[in-house]
Amino acid sequence: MKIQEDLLDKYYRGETSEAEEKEIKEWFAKDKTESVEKDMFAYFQNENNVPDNLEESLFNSIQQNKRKQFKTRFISFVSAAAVLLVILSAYLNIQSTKKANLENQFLVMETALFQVSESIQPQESEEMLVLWVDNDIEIIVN
Amino acid sequence: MTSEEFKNKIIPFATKLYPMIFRILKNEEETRDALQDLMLKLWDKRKELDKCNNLTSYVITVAKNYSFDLLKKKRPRAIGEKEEYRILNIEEDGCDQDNREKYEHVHKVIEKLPEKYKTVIRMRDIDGFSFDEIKEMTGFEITHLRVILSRARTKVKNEIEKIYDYEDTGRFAR
Repeated sequence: MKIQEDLLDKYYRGETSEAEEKEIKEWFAKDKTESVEKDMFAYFQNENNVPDNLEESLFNSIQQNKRKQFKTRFISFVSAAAVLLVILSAYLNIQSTKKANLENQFLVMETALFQVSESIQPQESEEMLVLWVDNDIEIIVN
Repeated sequence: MTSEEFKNKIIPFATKLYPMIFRILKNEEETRDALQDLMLKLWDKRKELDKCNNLTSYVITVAKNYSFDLLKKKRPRAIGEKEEYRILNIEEDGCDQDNREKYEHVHKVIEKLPEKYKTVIRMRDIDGFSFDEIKEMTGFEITHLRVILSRARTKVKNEIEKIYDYEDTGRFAR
């Protein structure tokens, strides 16, 4: 009993350690005699209404969230890649049609030029005098 | 920080924070949600947690700011289902009626203490925070905290004694 009173004095001086306070609380929980302290400590105990599985359930919810985060990250990555793919294919498509158009125009021009050169080419006749021939130029007199 | 380290170092704070947040929200479900939210915030900051050398101080600071936010947006009191059940249960028991009255006495006495006395005695005697943690939360030095705690405890005891004396003399007078 003596030790208990010393400890209680220490408690009221605000000098007890956590372990000592735990000891006092346990002692008063077992004590049968009515006292102010018994009610005080019973109240403290009663106010500390932490659910039993609190830590475990918090940890589980974090694990779940982690998985969810991974999932959303994965989905956003995939959708970004898909969008990129669509844009890229559209771009390539435009490029190739442009090129085809150009080739087409080139072909038309080439034929036109060929026809022009054909039309200005003099007809070959037997009597003609070749003045000059080299790789680039032919000078002919009819 | 791995999830195992997080479980061992950070999650245990929830046990001490629970009664404190419950006092703000007064509802079991909301308290649980708030703690979950808080723990997720800390989990997202786990890289920072690795870098800081005083884990307790960091967690307590985050928790403190979080509960200030809760206080700011606190809605009018709604009693949670579980709490309602708890009250009903005690009343049905009958023999606990007496205990409930006693708890009410202590509750009222603590409620009437000056703000800092109230905060410190609750954090120490109900929540079980260490002096370091209370210092981090309140900003008072430990020697000062001991003085506040000493006065708060003595005051609570004296006030309850006064109530009991009054009840006794009241009983005798009749």
